[in-house]
Amino acid sequence: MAVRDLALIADAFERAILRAAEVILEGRTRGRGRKPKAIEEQCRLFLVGWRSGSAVASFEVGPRNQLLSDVAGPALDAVIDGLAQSHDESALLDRIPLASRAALLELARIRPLFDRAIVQLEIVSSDDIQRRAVFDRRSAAIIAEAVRRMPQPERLAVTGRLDRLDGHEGLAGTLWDRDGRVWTCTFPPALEAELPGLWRRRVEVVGVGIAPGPDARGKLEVETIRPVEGPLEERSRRFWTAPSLDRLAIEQGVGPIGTIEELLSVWGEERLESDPFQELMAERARRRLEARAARD
Amino acid sequence: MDDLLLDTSVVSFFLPAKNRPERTLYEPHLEGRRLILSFQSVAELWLLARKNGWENRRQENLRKFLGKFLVLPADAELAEAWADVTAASENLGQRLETADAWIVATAFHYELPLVTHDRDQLILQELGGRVITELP
Repeated sequence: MAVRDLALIADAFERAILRAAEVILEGRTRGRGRKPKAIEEQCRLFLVGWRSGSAVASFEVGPRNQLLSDVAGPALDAVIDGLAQSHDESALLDRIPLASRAALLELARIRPLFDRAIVQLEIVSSDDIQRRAVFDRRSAAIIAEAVRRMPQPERLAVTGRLDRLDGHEGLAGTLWDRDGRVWTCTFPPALEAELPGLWRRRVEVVGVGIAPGPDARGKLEVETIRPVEGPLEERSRRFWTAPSLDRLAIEQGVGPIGTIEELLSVWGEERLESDPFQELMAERARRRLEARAARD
Repeated sequence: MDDLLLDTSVVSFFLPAKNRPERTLYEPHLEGRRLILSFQSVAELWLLARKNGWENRRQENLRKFLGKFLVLPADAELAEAWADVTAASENLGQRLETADAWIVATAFHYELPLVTHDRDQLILQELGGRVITELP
């Protein structure tokens, strides 16, 4: 095997693991500072063994960094999972997680190798030999075609109504946007406590995802979520779940009055010609009379 | 903090009319308290302004005046309280008129003392609520 080919394979896998790690960490580290160097160090591959024949190369990822949780492990899993699905083009286009998708984009670069000496690559996790995937000419062709057709993940902000929440299959939900498009959202565990209070409310979600295609269905891995309600929706919601008296007082900026002069000061020198008390009581008497007459 | 719900009858004493003796009677009750109005009182005060054709500056002053009060809006729970109060007053043989019932229901629902100078609203006492009045 040519050293150049081995280097190409190792480089493609290292990039694939790094891309998967970046996608995984995109949500996890948002707002808490990024650590790109630490991610790179942890995702670096080291050749630690070689056996000739049906060449078996052993690699290890970089050491765990104290500043960063284990990301290389989940990223490697995403690479293997992505490759394991690479025989099925519809799975690649529709159901594959974003981290695996990002990894496959990198691995697609080594397709020309299968036109030369290499028949197939078998990737096996040393932690769990059941986790394995085969990468060959056929799957490389499927990946290349899928990559050509698949819309690229992008950073998106979507506003819509959070309609369904499913806590059984991870934290997933459905969002309907104002154009009637349906977004399948996945939420990080950090948002779990907030979600029940946002159910059936109008929210803005921000994350990395795939914009809806002709089927009007999009996918979004949510990083942040916040309620955004128009005045009418806000009023409607408040009718059913009214805020407390103290909450209303804060919103209206009202506290106890100090003196009566404080209350009267707004009128300045104004004086009414009429007597409001008498007018009010006359109006009430008229209303009460009408109500009584209507009942009788 | 002591909260008081003011009926429109009492609030009307604090509009810039010629002095009514009742105003001074109610002043000690109000000082240092958080003063609260039902949305119904706000509507009644605006009706006074409209019927008397208040000019813009006076209307603006009314807005500022209302800004001194905490105003309680209608909501689902208050609507139920309105039904309770209306039905209970009917059982007592003194059915409250719709608008009156909103004010009494607000006091009843939020358990606020109602400061009123309107005899019809004294029914709140019979419903278990608290009334502050200087009616003779």
